[in-house]
Amino acid sequence: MNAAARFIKMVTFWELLKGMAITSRFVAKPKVTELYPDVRPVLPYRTKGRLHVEIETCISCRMCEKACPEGCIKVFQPSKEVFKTDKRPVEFYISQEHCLHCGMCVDACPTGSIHHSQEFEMAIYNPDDLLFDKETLPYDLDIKRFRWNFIENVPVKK
Amino acid sequence: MDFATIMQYAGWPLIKIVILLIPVFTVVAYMVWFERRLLAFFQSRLGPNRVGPLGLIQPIADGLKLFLKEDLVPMNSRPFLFKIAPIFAFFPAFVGFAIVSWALPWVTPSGKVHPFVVADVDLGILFVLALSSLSIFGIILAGWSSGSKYPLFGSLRSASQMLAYEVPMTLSVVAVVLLAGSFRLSDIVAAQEKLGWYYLFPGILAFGVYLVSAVAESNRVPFDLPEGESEIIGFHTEYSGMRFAWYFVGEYANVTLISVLGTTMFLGGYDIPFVNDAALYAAHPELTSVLGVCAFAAKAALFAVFFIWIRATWPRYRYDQLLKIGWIVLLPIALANLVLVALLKLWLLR
Amino acid sequence: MAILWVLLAIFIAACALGVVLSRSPITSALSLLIGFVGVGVLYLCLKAEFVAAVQVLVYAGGIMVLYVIGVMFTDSEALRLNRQTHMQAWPAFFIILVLFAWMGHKLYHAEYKAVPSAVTVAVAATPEEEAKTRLALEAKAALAHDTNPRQVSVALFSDFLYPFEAASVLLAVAVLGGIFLAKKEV
Repeated sequence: MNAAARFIKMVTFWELLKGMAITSRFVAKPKVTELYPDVRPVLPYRTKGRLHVEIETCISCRMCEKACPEGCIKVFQPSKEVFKTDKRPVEFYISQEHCLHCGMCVDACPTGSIHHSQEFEMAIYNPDDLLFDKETLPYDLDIKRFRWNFIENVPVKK
Repeated sequence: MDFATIMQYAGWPLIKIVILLIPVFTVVAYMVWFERRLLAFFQSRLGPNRVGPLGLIQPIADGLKLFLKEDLVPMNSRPFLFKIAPIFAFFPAFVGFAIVSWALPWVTPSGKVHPFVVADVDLGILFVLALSSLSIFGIILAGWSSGSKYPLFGSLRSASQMLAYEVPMTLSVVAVVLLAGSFRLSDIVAAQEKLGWYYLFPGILAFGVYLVSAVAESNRVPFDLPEGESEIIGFHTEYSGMRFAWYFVGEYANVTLISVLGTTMFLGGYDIPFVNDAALYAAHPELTSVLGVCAFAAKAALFAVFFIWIRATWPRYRYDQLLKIGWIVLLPIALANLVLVALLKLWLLR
Repeated sequence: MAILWVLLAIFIAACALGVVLSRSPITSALSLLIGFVGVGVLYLCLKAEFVAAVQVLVYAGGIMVLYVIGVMFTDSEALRLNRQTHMQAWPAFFIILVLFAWMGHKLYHAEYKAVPSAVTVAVAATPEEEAKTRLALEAKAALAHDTNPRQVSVALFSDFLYPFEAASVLLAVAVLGGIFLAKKEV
């Protein structure tokens, strides 16, 4: 019986057919390919994307500038008279050209004004376009709030 | 020589060749697209879908890119042989399409018969076998003239593989020819309808042998040792641009030709399944021809799907296993089948 | 057709000379291949399509592949540098000359059987002769309707059975010799 079954299996190429049955099941299954430009990927929350800075809460302490290993952040403090009442920086430069996305500036910031975003498409034609100043630095409050909660181990309130 | 004579010997064949070659080229180009898409589906991917709707312009884009690439000739090579070798690879596959009978002949109201075939020679399938035996030189010359070791290994593997599998393939075809009593492909199709069940048993054995050796002849998975991409790149390692494209096109033309011939010999060719063709032909000859070509294409597409399916499933054979299958398994089966067909012909089908 | 024949003959002769005179083995092998294909075309011109196809299939596709593989394994550079003429060249030349002269003599004096036509039937003198030519004429008409492979196989298994079998014995001897040479210990 065993020999007969083995012979039938050999003649009908049973193993090979079984393999083909398995592969055929994958034809109708959903595909794992990401259709990137058409369908945006859902990135994890701790994605270290482009740096965002909230200028309104920044106190011009220059901690980020000192923490940056690449020296790609430059903060200009306001004059002493202005600084007593208004601590916002007069100018804030980030060169994404040199940024390593290491997150050291984010750790150093005492007010949580600088942080990573989900933005990752930074390809441009002119390298000068990667230098951002106070006006061009964007800011997304929702991401900052979530991040802050995440880092402090506080669950997100729904 | 008057106009009618020139048309008979030069004009009509030329027009037929052009009418045939345009679809054949298109089919061969889209075989690549079809294979990439279907293979991707088997592997839970989507395949090329960016260029044009469903990626349908991909073959044209690939062809253009290869056409514009630099034509490199290695310093260590034999330039003349290196340059002519790709011609040997793609030319036999394309010439083979000339003898394929695509549908029942179309009879005009004035009684003139137009067969759907470029050259209905009575040697038919033998002509294709003779030509395809030349395609091996494309591979051998490429390997030898490249002046590099990987192409040489690839071509040596390929040569012994093609020699090993040409014999069972020819024998399985000979069994079919003996059964039908003719080399002509239209006669083989007619014989399948006439013989019916008698065709089935020797037909199945010949079909199996043909299928395996056809895959091996066209150097496809699971017999893709000559191109074994993970170990040696193959006989076309040194080729680039358009000369590489000829090998690529030749391989896919070969696959298409094998599908078409297999359809003709074993799957009933242009016979429309589940329909009485003769009755339909008497009523609507044009409709029968059109439907016949469609049925032919559908059956050949089944072959193509099967080739891609096994490529998605089976691993590559080891080299000694490959030669063992050719000489020790397939050859005796094909020979026994030939004897069986001869006896059948002698006793049952007198 | 005659012009085509002459062109083909010159082409095949040139290929044959290329086989003999070329220093590089692969060039010799390739001119032999092209010569085989040329002979196949010659058969096509003689309306022997089956023989032409088999010529290309067996000689060009099968045997030449083995030759080329054999050439690929040899050290072609060393072969190219060696001069390959030796003392046997002149005697061989004279023997070949005599052989060709003999063949030409035989061909020149050969009796060709006239192909019977309707005219020969009409001018036949005796009734027996007329019946004989008529039979030949019918056989020719039957031959014209017959397919090429059938003619070849009928000829092989009736008139030329002995030469056919003798050739197969010769090939078997060659195969045995090859096995004997290739085996390390017999």
